[in-house]
Amino acid sequence: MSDLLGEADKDASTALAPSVLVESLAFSYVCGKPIIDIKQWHLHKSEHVFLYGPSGCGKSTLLNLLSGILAPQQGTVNILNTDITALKPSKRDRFRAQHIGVVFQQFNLIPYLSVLDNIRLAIHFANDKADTDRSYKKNARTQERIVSMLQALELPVNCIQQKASELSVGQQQRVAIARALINKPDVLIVDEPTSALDSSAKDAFMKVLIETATKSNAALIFVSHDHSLASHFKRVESLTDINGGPALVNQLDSKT
Amino acid sequence: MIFSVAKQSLLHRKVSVFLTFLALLVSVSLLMSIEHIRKEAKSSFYRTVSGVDLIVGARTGQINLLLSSVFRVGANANSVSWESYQRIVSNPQVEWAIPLSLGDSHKGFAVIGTTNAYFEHYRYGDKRQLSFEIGGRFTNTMANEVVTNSQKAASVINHFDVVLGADAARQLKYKVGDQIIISHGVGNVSFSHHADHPFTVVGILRFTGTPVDQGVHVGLNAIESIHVQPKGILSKKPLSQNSLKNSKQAEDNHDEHIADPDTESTVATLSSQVSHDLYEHDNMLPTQVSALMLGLKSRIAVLQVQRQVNQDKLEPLSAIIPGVALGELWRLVGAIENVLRIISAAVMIASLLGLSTMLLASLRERKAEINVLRIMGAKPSFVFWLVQLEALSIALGACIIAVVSVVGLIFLSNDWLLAEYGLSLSPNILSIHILWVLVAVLVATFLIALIPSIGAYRNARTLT
Repeated sequence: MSDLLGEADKDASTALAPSVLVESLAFSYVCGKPIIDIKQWHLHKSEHVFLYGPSGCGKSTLLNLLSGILAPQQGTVNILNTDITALKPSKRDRFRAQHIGVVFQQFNLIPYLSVLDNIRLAIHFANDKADTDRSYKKNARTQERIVSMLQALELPVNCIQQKASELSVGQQQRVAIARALINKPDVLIVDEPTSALDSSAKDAFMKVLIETATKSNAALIFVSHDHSLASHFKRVESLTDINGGPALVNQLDSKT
Repeated sequence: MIFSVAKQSLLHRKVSVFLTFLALLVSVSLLMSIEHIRKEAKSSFYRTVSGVDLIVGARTGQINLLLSSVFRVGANANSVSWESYQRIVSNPQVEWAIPLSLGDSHKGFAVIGTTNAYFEHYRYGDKRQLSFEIGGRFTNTMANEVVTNSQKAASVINHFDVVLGADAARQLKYKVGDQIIISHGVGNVSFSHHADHPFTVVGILRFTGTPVDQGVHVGLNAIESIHVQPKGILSKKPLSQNSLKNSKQAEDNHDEHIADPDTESTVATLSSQVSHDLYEHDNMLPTQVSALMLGLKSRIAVLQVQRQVNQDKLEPLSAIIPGVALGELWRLVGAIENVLRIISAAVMIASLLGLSTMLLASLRERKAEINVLRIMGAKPSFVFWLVQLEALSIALGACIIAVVSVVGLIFLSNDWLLAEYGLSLSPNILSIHILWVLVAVLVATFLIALIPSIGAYRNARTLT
């Protein structure tokens, strides 16, 4: 129920801690050379970072580790002072729904669900089980919130009842941002979101992304191999500098 | 929320879902119809005769005797002599007896020579008595006076009256008062029609759903007269002598078993009355009957009387308990029902595998969808139950539509089935048994859908 939590509470509990803190993180798919090997890396609250990474440097793996979909063999991932690697799988799923928003390169939405249902599904997963309040009033409030979010992303309001698969790719990516931000996450992870867009759509997309992320006070991790996008960020880092692992397995790991 | 997602996911794949649904619908309907027909057939089978304690015929197997006497299938070549009939009927344990003379036909319908005891004592279903749609029993029953004196002895003289079963009356389009000709022999075409003996329809029975409906019932003596030559004067004298001798024998026999002065006198009265009739009314005394149905005073006596009949020294006879014989016959027929069940279960499993294949094939295109669900915070179990829910709702939908369509089909085809096959199916198929079948279908769906749903679960866990 992060949407009902006051911003002040969040600020108080996380004022001192960084949003993301990674320590001695190691991960490998098969026994052998680790793909991810990070001594220490952190991200402050509301900070935006551009992680430059060519394909095969393990960036998708890193994002899956940060979002808690993959569990590392070693080390810890702290999001807002919570070590998500120590959480039980079901707790971790709930934590992800409440605190982490993710936007992929493509396929961010359930194609057969409407835009509204896609976003409502994200709210559903973030809600606690005990919360069974399905009152009309609350539904109306939720819908209002979704509509204002879509408007902020410069999406037409009438797209709300359309199926996700009926939207253009650019629109789909904006809905993906809406879906990722609807639960007011502390961390927004964005993975190559613009690779399917043309350059004019790309700029418009970057603009609304930075704006809405700033407005929602989320820490932003933006991963891309497109250096031209780095201009939107103050902090720019190369993944290969942070990650000690992949240099050795670069050739083997062409899929990730 | 998961229900809404599952619903829209199914709607998204309308065509493959619909085809899978159709396959399941057909197989569930098949399974249900077979179970229903099996149940109905079994109950109507056991309903054919009830309240009869023993059936007696010439020495034969119990299934043969049951088939010929109750189902009118096949004929027992041997008969029970009239004196044996008298002897059995006069047993003090016997409350009533229905003599049956079988083996003749009228336009393909079995002709049953019997007495009014048939309409009085024959029971079917839950001990239900035969009742008349129109008309009544045989008239002209002179010997009925004897019957009232002693319920054991049957009326013999039912001169040329016919009582028709419901189907026989409807298909032959006979009305009460019609005159018909009855020929000798089984089969539609007979070589010898006896135009000398026109019969009059006096009654039509209500529908029973048993072989009684196909019966053409005539008096026992009428059977005799269609068998002998018209004006069979030659046969008269030896016959009467014979019958006197028989009754003497019967008396002797009873002296051996039980001394019952009442019975003796009855038999004596009957035989004298009968022989009197022979001369006075040109009626013939039956020399034999094909079988007889007995009602006993106490059910405890069934085994005792059965043994007495089976061990009869004067004539090789068989006595069967209808319930036991029906059970044995059903076990024979039951092999077929099991084959039908196995076939329908196999069809069911085949279509469930089809459902499973459909879901499994869709998993490939749903990989991205599973990723999205996971990244939104869905547990792997959500993905598992999503796939299960899709499978189960297709199966449940198929079950519901199958129930509706089978009920509808029975409802619509009932008249036709009744007219063509004399088969009456109850449209109320929702028995506990059918509910178990539906539960079994859903459980089988769950088990078979474990293949794609566990696949989806593992996809969700590892996210490759």
